[in-house]
Amino acid sequence: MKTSLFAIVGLVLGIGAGVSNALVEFSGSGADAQGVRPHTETTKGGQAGKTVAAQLEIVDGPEFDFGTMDQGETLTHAFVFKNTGDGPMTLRAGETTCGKCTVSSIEHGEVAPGEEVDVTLEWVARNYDAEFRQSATIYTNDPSQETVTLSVHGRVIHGVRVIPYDIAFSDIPVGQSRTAEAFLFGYREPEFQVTGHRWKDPDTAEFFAVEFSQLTAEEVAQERDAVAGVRAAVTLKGGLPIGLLRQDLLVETNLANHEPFEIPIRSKIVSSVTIVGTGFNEEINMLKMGNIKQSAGSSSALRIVIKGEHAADTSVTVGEIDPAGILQVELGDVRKFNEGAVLMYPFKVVIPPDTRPVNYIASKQNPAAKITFNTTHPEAPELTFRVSFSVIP
Amino acid sequence: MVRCVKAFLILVGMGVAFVVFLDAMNGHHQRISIANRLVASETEGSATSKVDPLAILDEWPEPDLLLTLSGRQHGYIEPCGCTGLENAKGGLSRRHNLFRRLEKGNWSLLKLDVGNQVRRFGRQAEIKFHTTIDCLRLMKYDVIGFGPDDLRLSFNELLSELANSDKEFVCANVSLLGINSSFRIFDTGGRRIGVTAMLGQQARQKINNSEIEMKDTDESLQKAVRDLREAKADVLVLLAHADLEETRQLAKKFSDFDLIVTAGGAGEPTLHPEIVQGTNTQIIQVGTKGMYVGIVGLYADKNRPVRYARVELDARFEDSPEILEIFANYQYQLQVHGFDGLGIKPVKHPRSDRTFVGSESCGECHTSAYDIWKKTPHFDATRYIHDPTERSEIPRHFDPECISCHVTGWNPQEYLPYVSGYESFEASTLLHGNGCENCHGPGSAHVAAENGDIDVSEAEKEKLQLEMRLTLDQAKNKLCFECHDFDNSPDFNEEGAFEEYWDQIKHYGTE
Repeated sequence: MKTSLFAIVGLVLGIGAGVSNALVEFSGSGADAQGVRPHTETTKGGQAGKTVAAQLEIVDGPEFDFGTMDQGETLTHAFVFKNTGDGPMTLRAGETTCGKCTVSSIEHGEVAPGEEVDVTLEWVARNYDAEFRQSATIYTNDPSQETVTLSVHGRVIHGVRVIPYDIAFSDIPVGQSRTAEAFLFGYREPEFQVTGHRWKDPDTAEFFAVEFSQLTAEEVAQERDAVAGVRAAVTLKGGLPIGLLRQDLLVETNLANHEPFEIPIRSKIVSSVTIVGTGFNEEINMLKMGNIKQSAGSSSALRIVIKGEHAADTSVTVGEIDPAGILQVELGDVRKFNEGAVLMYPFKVVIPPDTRPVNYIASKQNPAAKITFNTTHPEAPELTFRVSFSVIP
Repeated sequence: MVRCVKAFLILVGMGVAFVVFLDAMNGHHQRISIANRLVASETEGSATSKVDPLAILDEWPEPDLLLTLSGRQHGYIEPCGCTGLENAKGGLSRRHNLFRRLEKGNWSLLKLDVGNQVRRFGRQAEIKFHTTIDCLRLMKYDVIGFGPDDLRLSFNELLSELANSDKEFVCANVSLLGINSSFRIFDTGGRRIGVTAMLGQQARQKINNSEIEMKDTDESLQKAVRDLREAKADVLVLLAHADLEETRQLAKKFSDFDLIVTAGGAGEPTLHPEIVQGTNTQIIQVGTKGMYVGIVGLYADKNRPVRYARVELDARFEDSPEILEIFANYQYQLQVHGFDGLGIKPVKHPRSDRTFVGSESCGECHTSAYDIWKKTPHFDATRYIHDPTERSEIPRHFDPECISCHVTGWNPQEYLPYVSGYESFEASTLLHGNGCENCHGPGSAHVAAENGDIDVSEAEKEKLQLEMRLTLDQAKNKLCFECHDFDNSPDFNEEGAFEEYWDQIKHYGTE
């Protein structure tokens, strides 16, 4: 009987030891609460220590939606921190995720059990983005949540927004025309209208056209908080040379004291036989390899991309290389995509290590090197480009 | 003998109790100090005075599998350190080190990216796209989705990148000549994970690229789900480059997905996944500009199969040497291309037809203002990017995105030179530094008038002086923030910061 009693006592002690061990092992969350720890109190009479702990309840949750705000407006929200535990709660403000939101200084040293305290987060809507979400960390001595993250979010309303922000005409074949749309939404003025426009770069203005049309109420309703809207249909006409082009559409409106709204327009005109890859400049048809150390040599991996009606029947071979013996060209096997509608020939331009020092950096006085591919494409029987490089000791 | 038996039974009792207890804990609350274990081998001696960014993982049981979630890099391959890297978040270099740490754990990892590596259009964006994909490949990404700005890049450039890919590019409702996959299956962590991706309606409207095939979204996703089920995937993940509202609709329409990773939402990712009413699908945001990486732990526990944490990529993560090497090559490519190769041509100054003369000319008369300027970081701005002391000392003086705020005579937000603005480090020594004329405007006519190089009346001379005048309000409301913006100069945007910084550079009058 006594033996059984010892065994039971042992079992109880064992459980106690196990629990105690486990509590020691499991109490840390890994977050450094920097001195904010549970309180341990010793009862009168010198009995074993009794742990009392703060317990945090954020009354309306750790997230708050400011809704819509005007640009420049400052809003604050007080998160109510309640101590539902049996020990005093201590709080310390940690990091905020940006320089734009601030946490009020937490003045109360301790929050007694049952008491509440406000932790205020302030947001200044100076952002250019329409929507925002930011957060702040608070350290507590609640062992179950040593760090809590408060979060505020909302939407900054501007007078007018252009959606999308810009127009990009990607890979337009030479000579072809394309139209794309942008929308100007007004969020304040129901009578918002476009009164005129101009092109920022007059040199290429003739290649662009725009038509404005007022959006219907149904279309305006698609954009949250908008009260009026105008569609800008921008057309890129044919005739621009190969390469990248920047233009900006300046839109004048009936809004008082407001500068014209700028819609960036970016385009890239390409031919049906194109070379792509690192260092290749389509506008000047040149591969730039820079200054190459003689001991290291260098290589550039590029591709010839062939599209259009003649693509499927086109084959490519290496033609003239100037200077021969310095530049080497390795042409890979063709890859066909979309049932031969697009062909891709990978190739490498190689300057082997220990090539003698030469200067082919392109300039008015100094011609660049030259590589030619022969093709069976009727519009581009020869594909020639220059290579700008030098080999230095 | 009896004492021995008693003692033995006590010991057995304690042992049994302890084992029973630990067993119980293992079943429900197994906790392993994940962060501490990883930190111990990684950050010894490093400056980690703050809380370990992976500390949250300490509270998790060991997962079968970790998913890492990223996206919407928007071209922010590295945080700009204009006012101290300590304050800036994000960057591929830090992300690589996060993965390095996670890879030390005893779990499988799947790395998923919802897409939109770049933000702008043109040659630099194309080079940056290739650079980013190089970094993602180094980090062994399993799935990369498309964002609208990726698909606005030159199709030929996308093609050359995809042709090299190992099927990591995935999108169900967009096809680039059939090269990208519509879904992928991974057998890992004891699971069969099916991942697909989609491009949302608003994102599709931004694309004017006729060679990119846009498919019907509902039909594409129905097919992808069918294919994933037929492939016996037991966890279905959708990477949705869609706004939040469209993402919620997807969760309702396609309830097979256990997880939808969305590019929707503003600023930071939310603290917790969102569960759309009437579904079991968890929606997780990736935030913007690659500032955070989401970590999802998958468990066999039916009551809690998913745990989520967002990890802030701040200065607590050190730089990765391999990524810095790729960045150095990126800068070299920009150097080799030159401004003309990048399609960068000077534009007219918006407020003036004059030309830039350089701060030294200003200083010949405005001696006091010049002396103050010389003592500020503005004076050394060009040198900082030519001979940087941070981040592997990679020079960035060929990078228009850096140059625009570190020299005189560039448009800070458009990354373009003004006519007669800085051209190169060697040729434009007079325009080194963020000089007087960036705020006051190009000074050629004013200088010529004051020096008597042009014949002007006193009234005209005064008019030219007035042209150069800048009010504190103009500086405070717009000009300074063109460089000291939220992304690159977070300190500057704190309450009272302008006044504090202005105090360091303030100068009044004509001295």
